Amino acid sequence: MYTVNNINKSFFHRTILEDISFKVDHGDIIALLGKNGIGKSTLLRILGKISQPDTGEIFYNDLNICKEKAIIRKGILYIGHDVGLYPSLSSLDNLRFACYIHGNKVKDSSIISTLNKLGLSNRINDQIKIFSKGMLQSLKYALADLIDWDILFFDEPFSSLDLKGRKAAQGYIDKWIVNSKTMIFATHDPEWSLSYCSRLLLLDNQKILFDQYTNKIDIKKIIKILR
Amino acid sequence: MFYTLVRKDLLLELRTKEIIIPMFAFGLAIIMIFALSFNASQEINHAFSPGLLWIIILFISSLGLNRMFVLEKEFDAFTLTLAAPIDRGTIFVSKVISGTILLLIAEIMIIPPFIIFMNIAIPSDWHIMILILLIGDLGIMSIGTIVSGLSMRAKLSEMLLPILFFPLVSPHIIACVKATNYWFKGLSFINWQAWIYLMLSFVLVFFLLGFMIFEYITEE
Repeated sequence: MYTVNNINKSFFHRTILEDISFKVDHGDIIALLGKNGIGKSTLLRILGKISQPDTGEIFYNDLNICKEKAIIRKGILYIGHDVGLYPSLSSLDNLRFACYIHGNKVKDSSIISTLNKLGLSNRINDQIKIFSKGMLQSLKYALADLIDWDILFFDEPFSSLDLKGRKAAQGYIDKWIVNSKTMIFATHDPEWSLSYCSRLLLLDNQKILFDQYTNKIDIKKIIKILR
Repeated sequence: MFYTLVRKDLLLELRTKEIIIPMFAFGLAIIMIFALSFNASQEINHAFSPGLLWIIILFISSLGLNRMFVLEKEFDAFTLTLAAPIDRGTIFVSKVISGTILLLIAEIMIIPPFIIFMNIAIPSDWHIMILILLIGDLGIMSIGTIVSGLSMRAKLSEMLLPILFFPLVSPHIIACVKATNYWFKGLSFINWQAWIYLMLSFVLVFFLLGFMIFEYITEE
């Protein structure tokens, strides 16, 4: 479904990613782990076509996303660790716009219903710049729920969420797992990764240190590396 | 898709009012400075006003472009558009069109006080001036969107924008001033149509250039 071949990326002559290659199959739930500043977000941004690799290729359904027309990226959803929504627009305006540009015409009633599930129904017309970080994080789940995607790249899925928000977020992830969706999460939580992801990809020293299915992994080994 | 992108830019302006009002206020301030400091006769004002008008338009467009891209940078909102399956060329075209619409609205607000305070008489065939403004604005926004896209991820983007934008847009502005000057003088269009063609060439070159290279400009 998604093939990454020999990705290299540098910023200001500092190598961030070196010769990164892996394949993502349909239904894979991958946790991308690594220390801070190791390149997890950079890798996700490259996979989501926000950032361009210096060298290497990325294929989505056997089509090179760096060379083919943008429309072939329909079905890819990237959610970064920053908000990635317009602060001066309301949650309704933002979600409506996001759905449209991803090729999904969603009714306002569906958006309102999703916001209602996340406890944001009373803030539909408020500009999101007054939202707390947790509320903004919840909006990302509303976005992912409304857009019809095949593969999701989600950077730090639980950042800033309180217990209630985390439970709601986990509910969405569980729903996507049941629906055999393909997802890659950049996270700092090895325990959660082992519980919910099918595969673990650990980045260290610009490279993939290991790429294994979670049922074969010793958590103590991962925690030792991440320390 | 194009309509959705333009609508979003206009909606952002409707919600924030951070582009047109500062453009109008800044333009009005420059008009007042020109009008009060020169204190010149109507003939002199008439001779200088095409140049003054386009200097004002250049300054306010720079302000507007800066605000347009600042709104995209806040909360890393531009990522939402970049991550969508939309050709970057389409994003460029939508930015040029929405920028041109906002600049035209600001000009509609600025030109009446300009005429009043500079004490100038305008020819009756004002529809030609609308054509000059439209082509002029499209050129300014085509060049400005390329430069704003280039500078938006830079640390000193506010400084970088005018440094890159003014030299690049100068030939186009000169053509705009020449065309406006001949229109002010009431000369027949046939005599100065070459300047319009020159303006159109700038629009065409930078519009196509932006359409083709916006993909590379917006990559990290």
